Amino acid sequence: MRNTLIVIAAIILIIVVSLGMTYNSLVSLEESIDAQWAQIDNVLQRRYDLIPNLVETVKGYASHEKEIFEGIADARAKLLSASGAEDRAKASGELEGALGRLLAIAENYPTLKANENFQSLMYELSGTENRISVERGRYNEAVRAYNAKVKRFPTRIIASIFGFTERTYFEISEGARTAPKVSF
Amino acid sequence: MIQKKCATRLVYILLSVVLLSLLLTVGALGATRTYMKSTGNLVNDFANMLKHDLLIEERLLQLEKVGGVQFAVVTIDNLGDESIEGYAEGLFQAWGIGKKGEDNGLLLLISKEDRKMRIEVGYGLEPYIPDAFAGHIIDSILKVRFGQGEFDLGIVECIDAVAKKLQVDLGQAPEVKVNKEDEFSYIELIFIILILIIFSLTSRKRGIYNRGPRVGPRLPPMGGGSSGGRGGFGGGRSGGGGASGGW
Repeated sequence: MRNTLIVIAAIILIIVVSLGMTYNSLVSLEESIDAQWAQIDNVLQRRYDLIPNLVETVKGYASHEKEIFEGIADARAKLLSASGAEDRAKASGELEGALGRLLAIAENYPTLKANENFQSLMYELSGTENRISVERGRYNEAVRAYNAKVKRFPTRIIASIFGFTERTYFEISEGARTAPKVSF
Repeated sequence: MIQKKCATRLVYILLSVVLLSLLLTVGALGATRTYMKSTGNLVNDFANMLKHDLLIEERLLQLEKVGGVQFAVVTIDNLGDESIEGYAEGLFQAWGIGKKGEDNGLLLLISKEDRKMRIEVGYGLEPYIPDAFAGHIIDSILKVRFGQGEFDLGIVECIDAVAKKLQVDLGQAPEVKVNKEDEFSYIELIFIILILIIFSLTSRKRGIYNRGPRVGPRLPPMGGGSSGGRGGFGGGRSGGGGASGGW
């Protein structure tokens, strides 16, 4: 009788401990996703801040390309009002497309390309694009690790009890994949 | 008595099953790509492009000591199907260039067959080495020198430009121009090394390294080094900052 009690107590203890451990690991995985999301926000903000300078510089040489400047302003405004991973990813994709068009027209202005300020901005922009892709990769990796846990069998039950749901990846839009490639 | 033994055995079995399943879930994480191991030096000339790697190493050690920046120079044969940005970022994290938490690492990666180079900047140095500056080094120094086949000279000039930007005084640059004379002068090299050794010995006596005339941004000094020599890299991270180019 006493022995059965010990066994039952041990089993309950094991269940509680493993439950707690799984819960904790889910929480920390979720936290790493949020931390990585903050990193993405940082680099997106960085690109966002670069744009006015870039637009001003290009305007000095190609003021008549109004459509492109408007497109950038629109995309930039959209990014500002977007919230959540999906919306942000979409808006930043649009902005990337608009920037790509801006860089494409810069090709037609040799004096602009020779402008030292423009060259510096181009390096800042390509560095920022690279940062975005790096942080996006790390974000998706964090989401992948978390989702795998939420979806896999034993943890799946615990995840659903505590309300851990799958998270969305930061997808790259079609237009963003090709642009903006900076080279001069 | 026998029953009790059975019960404790059952508990052990259950415990081990739970532990095993926990271990299995931890081990099921995805595998990442592997990079070659660092030689432990700052200069890793895997593609055999450098003739003065010892001198460059000396200069980088000086930069690490005085400026607190861990600058790794790596040459590779080719990138395979990876981009230079992706390779540099991966290698940077794999080696952990710079000190953990301070992320004061820099990487100059040169791919010989692709004729491409990249400067990858650790998180902690991003305010001091902006992308535009890294791009400027690539355009005005590395592209030009590498185009002339002067790899050693280009790298030394690059290190000096970085040191200047960080306001670190490295002293007289070593003579590393290789195209000037075809024959490699060992006497000159030994002479320079001797001077460097004498310089480092005398200055250590006077304690220049500790109280030296260092102006400019207060970069955190490199930790570690407790055993005298360098113990490899320290777990620094980067996030894709820097610039790339080709020659």
